[in-house]
Amino acid sequence: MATPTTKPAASPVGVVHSLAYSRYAGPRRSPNFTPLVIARYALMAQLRQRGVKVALLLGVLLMAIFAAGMGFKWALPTLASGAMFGGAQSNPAQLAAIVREGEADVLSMTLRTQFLPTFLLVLWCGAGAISADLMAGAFQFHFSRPVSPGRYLAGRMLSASGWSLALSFGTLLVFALERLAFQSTPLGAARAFGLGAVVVFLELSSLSAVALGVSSLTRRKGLSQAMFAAIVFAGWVLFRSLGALLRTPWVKTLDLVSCVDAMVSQFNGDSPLHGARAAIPALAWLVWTAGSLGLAAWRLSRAEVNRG
Amino acid sequence: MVIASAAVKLRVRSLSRRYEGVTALDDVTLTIPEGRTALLGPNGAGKSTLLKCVLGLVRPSSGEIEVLGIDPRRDPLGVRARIGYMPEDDAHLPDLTAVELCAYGAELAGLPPNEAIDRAHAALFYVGIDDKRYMPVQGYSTGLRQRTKLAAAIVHDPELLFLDEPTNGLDPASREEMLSLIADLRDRRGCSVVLSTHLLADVERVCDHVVVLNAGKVVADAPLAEVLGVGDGRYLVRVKPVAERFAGFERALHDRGCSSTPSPDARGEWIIRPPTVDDPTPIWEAALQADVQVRHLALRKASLDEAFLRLLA
Repeated sequence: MATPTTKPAASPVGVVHSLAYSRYAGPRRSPNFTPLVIARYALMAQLRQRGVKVALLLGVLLMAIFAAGMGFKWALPTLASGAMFGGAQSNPAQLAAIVREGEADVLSMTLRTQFLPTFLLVLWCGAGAISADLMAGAFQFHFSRPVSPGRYLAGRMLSASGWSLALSFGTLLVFALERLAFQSTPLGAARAFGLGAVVVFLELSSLSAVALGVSSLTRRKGLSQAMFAAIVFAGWVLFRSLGALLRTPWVKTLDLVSCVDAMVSQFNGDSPLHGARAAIPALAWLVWTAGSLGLAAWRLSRAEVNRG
Repeated sequence: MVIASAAVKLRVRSLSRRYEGVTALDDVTLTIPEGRTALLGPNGAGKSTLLKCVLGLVRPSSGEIEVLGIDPRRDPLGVRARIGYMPEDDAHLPDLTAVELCAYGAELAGLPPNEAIDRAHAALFYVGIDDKRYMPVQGYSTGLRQRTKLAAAIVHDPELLFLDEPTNGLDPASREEMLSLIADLRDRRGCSVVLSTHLLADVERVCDHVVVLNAGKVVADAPLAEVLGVGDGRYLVRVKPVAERFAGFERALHDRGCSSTPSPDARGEWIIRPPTVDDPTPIWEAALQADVQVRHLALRKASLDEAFLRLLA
């Protein structure tokens, strides 16, 4: 009788004919999951980049600082009015104004707190995304699989804005909870959170779209990042200067950053734009976002699966 | 050659693709059966364009394509879910390890995450990548990259696999292993393979069907044996090595209109072309006249190199 041995069988010499690799007859998921798959793997890979880690840490730090600052700002009138201790509530109109101002702060301060980390994250994760894929031959990897250009672009949009979205929503949530703790009613805090979510979506979608648009133009990651930075900052300076020169406030809302800021002002009811001009920031946002996505989609439709 | 419909993996009819001023594919008609098929041709022959058309990435100017019974123009994603493609160039994602890259490929093909990671490990083990699978792919050697590309191409269990120059940059041992894997994929895993390569020795080693493209046209679409078997009408004749009878044999051959080339080492091997390709009778008659004992007579098969050059000419 053969004696059982714990020693494993010797590996075959040469090719490893693994029995583990066999035919697959299991379920397959709908291609509609493709953007989520692309985003998940991209976000995982982004976390290995030093720049992304630094930007995330910066975002968390700024969130803590601004949360403390805003908490202090919002706590003072509450303490002064004595509302927290069940004391004087003699001037409801003044309190209502303080509440409105505080809720308006949620929208504007969420954007301001996270502007730099958001810009850096979109720069790292979005502005070089398509360029890096072109350089590494990842187009062949994606488009020889059941991935359409539209789904690829949707996946890259999610991955370009994923970490910024997490930071911005974290900040928004902290601010909304602070509002709830000090002056706002649950409904007021929820309204501020909802509007804040819309604003974060508007900012991140336009930034990501432009980042992907410029990224689709070149296979040089550094060049596409430089173009993105130039569009954000040089565009801001250009339209600010033009607006001041022409003495027309609406011109100042045409650049990538200011169009969302202008919409925040509109949400808060303190916008200088009225009548037909009130639509200009939304139109500018639409042109930046749709134009950039259209450019990227057009470039991707011409993508080749193999060279040589 | 007629191939049963069920055994056809790829069928192309009158396919043309014209770019500005260039005809990349010109009325191409071919049939790729089950098994291992070589796609041969010089640079610019149209191999890459043909692959792009098959993958549904390039819309043909005219003609029809059927991959696994599906028209890629109507359902490109359906086709790509059932085929695998190993490109010639690098095709990886920055910062992903080999396991993650393969699992990513599997998930893009629709496999659930848990299945994808299991099959990624199995495919990498199959191609012979062990502990290095946890390292980022951009740090790999050429051989490991080629193996990773193969693993990523087969991880979702394709029915038809397109390999573009899979042995490029490999040392002899790695090349032999890669060819063994390609053979095994068909023999034991049931995956048909289309091998696009310039290395004719690889084709002779693993392929059983050959498609040759030249200047956008198909110049051969036949089993390898048929391509090799159709020589140039010359026979390999081996006779008993009695040197003093060779001069008379040569004279008798010439009298009957045969051209002959004796083997330089005088071992009794001759390469003879009779006046009529399919009729070796004059050789027999010359041997009888010169009293030479014929021990072997067969149509001489060309090497694939010779056959390839002849087809291109």
